Amino acid sequence: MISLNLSFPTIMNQLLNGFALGTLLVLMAIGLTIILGLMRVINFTHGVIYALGAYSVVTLFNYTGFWPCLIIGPIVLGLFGMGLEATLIRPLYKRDPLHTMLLTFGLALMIEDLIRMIWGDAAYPMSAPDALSGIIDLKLFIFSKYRLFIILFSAGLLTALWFFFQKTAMGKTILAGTFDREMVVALGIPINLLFTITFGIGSALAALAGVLNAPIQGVYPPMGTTIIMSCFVVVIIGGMGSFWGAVIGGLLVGVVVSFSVEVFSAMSDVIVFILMAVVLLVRPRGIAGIEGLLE
Amino acid sequence: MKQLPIEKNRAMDFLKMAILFAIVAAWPKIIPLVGGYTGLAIEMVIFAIFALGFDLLLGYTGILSFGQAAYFGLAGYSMGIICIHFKLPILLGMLMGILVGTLGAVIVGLLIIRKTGIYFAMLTIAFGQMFFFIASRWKTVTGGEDGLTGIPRDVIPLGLFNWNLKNDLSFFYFVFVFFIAATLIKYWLIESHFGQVLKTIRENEKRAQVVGYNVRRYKLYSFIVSGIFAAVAGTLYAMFLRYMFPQTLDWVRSGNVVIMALVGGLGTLFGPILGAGVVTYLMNFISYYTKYWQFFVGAIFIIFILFLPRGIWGFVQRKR
Repeated sequence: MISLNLSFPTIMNQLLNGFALGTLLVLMAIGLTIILGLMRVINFTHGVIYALGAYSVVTLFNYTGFWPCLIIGPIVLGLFGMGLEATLIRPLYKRDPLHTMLLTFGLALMIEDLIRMIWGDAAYPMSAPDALSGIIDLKLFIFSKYRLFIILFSAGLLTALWFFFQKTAMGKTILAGTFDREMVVALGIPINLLFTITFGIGSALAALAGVLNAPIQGVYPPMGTTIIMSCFVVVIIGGMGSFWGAVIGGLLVGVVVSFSVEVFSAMSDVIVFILMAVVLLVRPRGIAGIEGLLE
Repeated sequence: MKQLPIEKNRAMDFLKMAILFAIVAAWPKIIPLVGGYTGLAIEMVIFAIFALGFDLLLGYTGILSFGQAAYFGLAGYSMGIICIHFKLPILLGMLMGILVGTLGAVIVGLLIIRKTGIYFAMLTIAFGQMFFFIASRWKTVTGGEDGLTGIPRDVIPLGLFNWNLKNDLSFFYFVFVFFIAATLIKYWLIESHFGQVLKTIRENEKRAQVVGYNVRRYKLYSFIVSGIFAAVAGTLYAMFLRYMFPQTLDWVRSGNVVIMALVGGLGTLFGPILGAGVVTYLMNFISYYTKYWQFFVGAIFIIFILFLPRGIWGFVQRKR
């Protein structure tokens, strides 16, 4: 059952597999955690938007090939997220944040069934684009070209996001809002617009993760529900509302999942939750959780 | 509205509960008229017990748990496993199942009760999902994805005569006994000092703290009691189906109980019962016509949140 007999290439392979999964989790978790910090709601639609991102590849692949999906999917679904926020979610801001959260839960139920109605129950196997199919020889071990691409692409995007949050006025305002929303409102910044934009960015990132993951995991209706659970764990481990928390948490969860499949596959799904419980016991706010946020 | 003296209110409450019990007692006879069957009636009552307990947490204490199905499923699985492997009589199995389910709620509660609001909600989902994965992966004990089959529902010896639960109608009245107990206990809890403290925490947690209540301890008790209700419902559900499967612990199932309590009316005695009945009935009714019932349940839920957040019972109460 438990095998600890790992060779060096296996270790390196699982480590990189873990990073590939991890960076995708980071992309998703950042959207989730920023919405959480700024708007104080769990956005349950995050998972189904990820699934819609993957399905955009299914639909567009025959017309455009893989690459344009990386642009079209996130833009369309980012706008979709902004639309949801502006029409259905905004009227609830004056109420308990709980209602907003439950609304997104209802939406997630609806959208998941909508996916089944449109694309059917069966899974679509997707393959990596031709330019990135196959493996690359890294001398000491070999690795999938496509997964390496995911790691590099996501790392680049995360760097850009970091600059956005650190160097641009809007990014800084969003980040400031997660620390002290009242102060941001008091400074006369239109918070509703900020919410819409944040929702849009989060949705676009989730959709992008869906597009990127489609060739690896295939495309199937409950895929959003599956991944959002990992994202919750990432956000809890990393710490609520924290950019770096999401990065560290995502990579950690990715690597742990990847190795636990190799070492103790029967219980691989359970191990990340044990990791989460341990982190909570040692650091109740998560690894990079911010004091006073959501407490 | 004229304020009635408290004693008289209480008499009214008992009258309402008596009417409720009478309706539920007659329910297996009524339900065929609206296209139902005894099995559906059983399910409605089981989920009413589940929702009653859940509402103590969300409606009266103001804490959202999105992982209550974990204790429901944990108790159901434990009952089944104990009965099958140790050949215990079902009542003893039920008791053990409820104990294990409660223990689960105690452990998770102790670990996360310090957190509030959505942080708490997210943790309940995550821990709930841990139990889900254990149920779906620990194949040798739980049967894995195939589920746990062969859970007994047989005869309870009562000295003079035996209560045969194999028959759906007689099992309905077995569940009904627990339903009466659950409703009375819930009523007693919300009318007691304990219930008043919970409501204070819901309205203003800081004030409750300042007045000198150990808020964290009260919240933990509320969480555990809610877990006990879920566990009781879970064991009944396991006996009802004679089968448990991982999806009974899933967070979507936890979400369903949130829907039930909200559609019925949060923070009221009768709302969650009504909501559990209506939502269970609708799910059954819609799934008869289309396999996309989740879409319609989601839509109904959204309509309630947007336009009727006080639920059916809350709406009726305000109209009067």
